[in-house]
Amino acid sequence: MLKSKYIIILLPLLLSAYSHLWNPLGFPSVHIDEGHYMRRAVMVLEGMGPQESAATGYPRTYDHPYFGQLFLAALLGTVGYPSSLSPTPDVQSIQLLHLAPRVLMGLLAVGDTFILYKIAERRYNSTVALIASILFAIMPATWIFRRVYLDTIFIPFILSSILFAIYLKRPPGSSDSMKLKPNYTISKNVSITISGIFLGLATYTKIPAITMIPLVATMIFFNSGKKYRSVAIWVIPVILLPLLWPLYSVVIGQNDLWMKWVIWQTERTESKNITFANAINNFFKIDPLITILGIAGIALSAIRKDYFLLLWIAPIFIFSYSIQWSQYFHLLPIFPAFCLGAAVLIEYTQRIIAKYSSNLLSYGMIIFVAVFGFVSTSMLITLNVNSSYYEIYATISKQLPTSSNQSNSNITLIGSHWWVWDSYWITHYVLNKPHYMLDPRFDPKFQEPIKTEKVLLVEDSKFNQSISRKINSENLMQIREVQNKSKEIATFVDNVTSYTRNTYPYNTLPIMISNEDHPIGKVVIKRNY
Amino acid sequence: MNILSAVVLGLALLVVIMTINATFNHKYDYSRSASEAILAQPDVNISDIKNLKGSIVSLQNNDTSIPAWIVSGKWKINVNSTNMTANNNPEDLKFTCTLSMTDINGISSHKHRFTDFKFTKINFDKRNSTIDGTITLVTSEDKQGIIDKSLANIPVEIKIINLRTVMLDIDKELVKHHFGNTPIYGKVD
Repeated sequence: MLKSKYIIILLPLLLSAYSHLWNPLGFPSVHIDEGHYMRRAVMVLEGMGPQESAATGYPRTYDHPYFGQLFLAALLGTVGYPSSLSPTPDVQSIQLLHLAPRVLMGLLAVGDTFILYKIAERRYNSTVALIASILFAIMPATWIFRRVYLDTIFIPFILSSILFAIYLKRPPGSSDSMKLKPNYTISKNVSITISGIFLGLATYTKIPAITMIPLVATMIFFNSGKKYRSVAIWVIPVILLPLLWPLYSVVIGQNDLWMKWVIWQTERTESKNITFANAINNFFKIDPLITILGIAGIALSAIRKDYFLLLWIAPIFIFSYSIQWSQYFHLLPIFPAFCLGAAVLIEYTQRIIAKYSSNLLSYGMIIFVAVFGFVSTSMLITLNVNSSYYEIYATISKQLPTSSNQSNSNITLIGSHWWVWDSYWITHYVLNKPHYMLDPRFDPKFQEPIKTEKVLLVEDSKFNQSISRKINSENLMQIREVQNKSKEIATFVDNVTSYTRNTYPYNTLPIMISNEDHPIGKVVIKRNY
Repeated sequence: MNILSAVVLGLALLVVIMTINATFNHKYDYSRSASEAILAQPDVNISDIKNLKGSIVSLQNNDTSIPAWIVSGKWKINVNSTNMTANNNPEDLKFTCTLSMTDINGISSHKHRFTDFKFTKINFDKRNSTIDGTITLVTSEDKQGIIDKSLANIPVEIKIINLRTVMLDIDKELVKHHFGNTPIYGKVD
């Protein structure tokens, strides 16, 4: 009996390992935020701490708390990353440096699958658990978990917080005699504290994790026998851990900047395309089936007076709607809830059909959904959309000179926001090629002059658009002059969306790079030295 | 507490301690980015504002808060006496301003001058300064007679923000809401 239980768990875990660890370099495209989070992680590995350095030129120094980079650095550091990979500016080495964090994300997603199984098993039953974890493993939206986002890092912590809160309650049908020996159970207060620590760490990764407070607090309250004291114990780490972030800013005398960038983050309106409605729309386009089944299942649960899933997604929707700055990947915490909702619906439908029809027919729905998910996900994760990316990255890396002194930069990299920042963490910190950069997005009026004689240019559609604007700036004139005098080193075509078709799931590829200003098409690398 | 609880709690607390240690135990970077440098600039004082001048570029509303007048002009802060250079006495501050108001429909226009500035008080708040005083509002070329030709002792608040912009808030009741319900805006040259 116990043996078959382990075999049952193995199925979703194997599927999850396939979905999240197959071809991590090829799909999905590298997101600009991955470059930002990896930069912060390697800064931690360099002993510079988790705070974004303004010396890099990145202005939004207090946009997120620190646990994301600390977690990445801790796990990557244990395997000696990056020095254990003997990094060089070659394409293979650049790929390896990207591979390690992506594999880590894949392993986290497999862990998510396991935790979701255990949540569903305890809350519902092993059938719902199996269906939910399989859906989590193979439905198309699961590819988002392959990226190095703060959202993918905090999901296992959120799920763990829920799991410990759920385990406070004895499983239905169990009696005291069925309990394990006292030495092999975790006491209630410890479970409560650990649930709080997990949610506190999730919030210390990214503030929107606070949207899980209503769900977990409610579960702690009811599963501990309606004790306010339990909620009080739980809430202490939930509040105190994220407070490390503002506390740090006070310690280094930058609480004014903390306040400024936190307000900026909550009031972001740089793009009219980034809205809650568009986020929902894009999430639906990426995975229409799980969205429909998930919402239907959550509605069914609510009708049956099970508000667990509704309490899971409602605060996320309210939060996202109120701040509006929401993209499809910000909605990741609803994906496990959708999988659970869909599993509840499928299991319910299966029982109804089995009652009035054949057993074989009753499995039709889950087989259809599973095949749809597996095929759609396979079609996506076997793509290679990043081959040009690594070649461009390697070419930039090769052209930048290595320095024996980190502060002794004598070259400026000028290009689109996307390229100058995505290429920064490996070239500057891993390969020890410090350089200045000019980013037309952060300096739209070109107030910064070129500080070095040597200039490396990465010309793409976004960059050319930036420097062709009519701006009265001597610095811009200087950039144009350097551009005219520079010689071409290499030309590439960024193939990131070249697999786009009218048919699903290939029609969702443009969403993969939406709102990140990823320049597509021709990329020319030039230098004036 | 049983063994498993103690081990799990111990591990969790270890993670928390390591997190706190990793947050604080490293070489600190106090740098501030160029766009944030403005916040780190020194607070302004009297010597920063005593010879400022600039232009007025503003839209003033009518009674229904719809833009009705285009206001342009020049403003200047200088000092009454030569003692100011040495003493930086704010009571020696003198504020003058000339305004041209044109109806947004292009039908009528008239001019104003702020004269006879009398200092009341000054307040500095980091990069911002606020000067309170009174002026005489002199009006000319007002063919329709929409306001008295000279109104004396009109309280005015002059706000200079980050040494970049200026806001003139004139007592609305005494000028019969002639400038609408918003301040007159301008910039520092």
